Amino acid sequence: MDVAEFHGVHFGYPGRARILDSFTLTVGAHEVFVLVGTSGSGKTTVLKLVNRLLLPDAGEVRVQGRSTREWDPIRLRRSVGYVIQEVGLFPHLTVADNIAVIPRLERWSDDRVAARVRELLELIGLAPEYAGRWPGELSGGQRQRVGVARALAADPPVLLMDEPFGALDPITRRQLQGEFRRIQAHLGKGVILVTHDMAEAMVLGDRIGVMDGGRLIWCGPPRAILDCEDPRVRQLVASVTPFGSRTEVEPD
Amino acid sequence: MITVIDYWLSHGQELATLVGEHVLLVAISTMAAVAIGVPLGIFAARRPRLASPFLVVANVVQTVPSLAMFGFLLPVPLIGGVGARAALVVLVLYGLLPIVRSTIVGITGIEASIREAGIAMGMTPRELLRQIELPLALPSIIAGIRVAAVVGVGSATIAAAIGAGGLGQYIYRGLSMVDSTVILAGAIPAALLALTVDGGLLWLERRLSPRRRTRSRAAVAVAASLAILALLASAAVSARSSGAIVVGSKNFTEQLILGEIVAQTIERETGLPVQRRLNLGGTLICDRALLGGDIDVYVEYTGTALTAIFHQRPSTDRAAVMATVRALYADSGRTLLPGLGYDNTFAILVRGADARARGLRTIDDVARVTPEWRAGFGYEFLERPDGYAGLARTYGLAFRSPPQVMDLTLSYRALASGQVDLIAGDATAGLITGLDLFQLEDNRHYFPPYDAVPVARASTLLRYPQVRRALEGMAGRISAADMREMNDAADARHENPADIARRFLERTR
Repeated sequence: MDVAEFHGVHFGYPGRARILDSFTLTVGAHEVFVLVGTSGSGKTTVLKLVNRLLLPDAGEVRVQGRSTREWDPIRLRRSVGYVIQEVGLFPHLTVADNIAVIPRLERWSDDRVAARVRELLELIGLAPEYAGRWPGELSGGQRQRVGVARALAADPPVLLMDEPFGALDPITRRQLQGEFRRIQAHLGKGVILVTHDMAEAMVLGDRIGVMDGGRLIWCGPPRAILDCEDPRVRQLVASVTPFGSRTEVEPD
Repeated sequence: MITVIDYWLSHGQELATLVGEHVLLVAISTMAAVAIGVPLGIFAARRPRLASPFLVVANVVQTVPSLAMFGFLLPVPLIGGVGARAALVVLVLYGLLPIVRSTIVGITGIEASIREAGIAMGMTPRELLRQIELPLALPSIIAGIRVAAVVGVGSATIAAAIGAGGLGQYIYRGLSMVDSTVILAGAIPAALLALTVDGGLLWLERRLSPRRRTRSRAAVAVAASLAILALLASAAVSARSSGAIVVGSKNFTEQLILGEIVAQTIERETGLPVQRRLNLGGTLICDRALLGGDIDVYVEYTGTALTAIFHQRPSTDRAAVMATVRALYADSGRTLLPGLGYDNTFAILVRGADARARGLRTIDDVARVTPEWRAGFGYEFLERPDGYAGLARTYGLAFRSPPQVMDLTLSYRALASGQVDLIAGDATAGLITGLDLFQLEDNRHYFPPYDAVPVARASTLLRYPQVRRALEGMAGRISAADMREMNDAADARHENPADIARRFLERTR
């Protein structure tokens, strides 16, 4: 079953240019779908429509076969993991308590919560003693790993990732990208990942979608993108050719 | 400083009571302000358009001087009047602003990404508030509570003006006695209290900073148990002993002594329990309190009642003034009892030595010699309609130079030390005895009468006829000389009004 479907979705705010315009897309289970595009192209809006932080003006968004309008928003969000660039770890909770937020909201038993926290720390490659640390004591990369662990805690079938590695230095970013591939190979979630870094898209994506002006202008497997004729896509691809690797020079 | 410590040592019991009352006032009002202000702040933080009008209103409330606020509330039913309840209302209003503001700041200051993460994780608004927003806003809220509590310690001193008790009583007593020792006796503990409250809450604030959640549970428990303790104690204090006769007084020495005399007389003669609400901040506050049933009886002066309470033109006819005031009081359900026996009017004073050497007895006598003399008058006496201008006209008084304007209290010393030769003072001022001054007779009856007379609620006298008998039994018992002597004992010798009253009643029984 497809984890997320967009059917002719329109979204905008009154008096401003439309953010999404007849947007249509289907993301399958176990698939990593990477959305690329310049800032303002509507990538983040796509994610927020999945966990119903936003509702479409027209058209329909279906998650696991059911329209987001029909989902109870609380249930929907607890079954969709969400990782953002700023991480948004709760500074007044330890690493373990941050990871345990959704399981506790779901009233899991203490033993089950503790076991899940241990399991996830191991999965993201943090030693067990990190459980008691405060977010303020972690490095940027460690914080982002905890953010991923928190999103995975209740084992959601869908994972949304908004520039998850964008705030990290290039070396840490590559390391985490590698770990993400390892984790995904193990878990096989349906993932929608947003980035404006074409190199990242090509490393992580099973499929890539290129957005521009609220529309999906190209969609296909990473290798195929090199053959695309569209100048807007070519410009994005040019940023990862060996001599003009903008991502390395301009870290966000 | 030594004298302040002596004062504390000799008033230990009273000091403890006043500190206790002060702490309770601040604790209860701060807790109430938290209970109202935090939800209000949360509400406003969710609606940015509401937040700024909220803060404007709270700011306006804050700028009303606290004494004026007590005045506004006097005639308001249920929450107004005099006593601890009205004081608490005012203190809560003052505490609201910092608490509402800090709650708004604390909640709106949370990073957007943190709130968004909470929402995206499927937290309900209630879960978001309890698990994320409140814990993160807590240090800011506690900082606001700190401000509210410290401001409360200061404002609570003013609450003594409406008989709510607390350390302000020493400050008001000191001001009325022009005695800085007594002012300091109240001001120093109030300042220490403010520092303690500030320090205690700062400790709590540090404990509750976001990174120390587990340990902070103990701090919350400590704070909660302290709060519960204060509430329990407050129940004991706020319960007005039912059936007690409540005696009031204004906030100067003579009134405190009179209040004690009335209270002790009722206690002795009737055996009824008496509650003292002495030191109320002025004529109008006493009048409102009597009207509203917050007090049952206090001593008023006929001339003051005529002009200040009933807004009639001043009159010099003693019997007519008494009759008019009695009738006006009767119209509003109050009974003017027989006079205590002295007239606290303006007194034209000269040095005792001059009076004896020149055989001066009346103001007519002195008018012959004043062209060579200098006079010193308080500002009020120079201005008021029954003051200097009329006096000069009535007696044909002239002085060597225009009268000097000086502080009323200082003018007694200026006369004694020879800087001026004639002043207008208070007929019962203790200093008249203390400095050997002589009061000239107002033989042309220029000054309106200010006979000291108890005034009581008619319903109280109806219910307790024995109280009426006791108050009537005081008729004519106190002479101007008695009152001067008692004022002198309090002002110059720092004796306790209750002791002075007891001694007087035993001596004249």
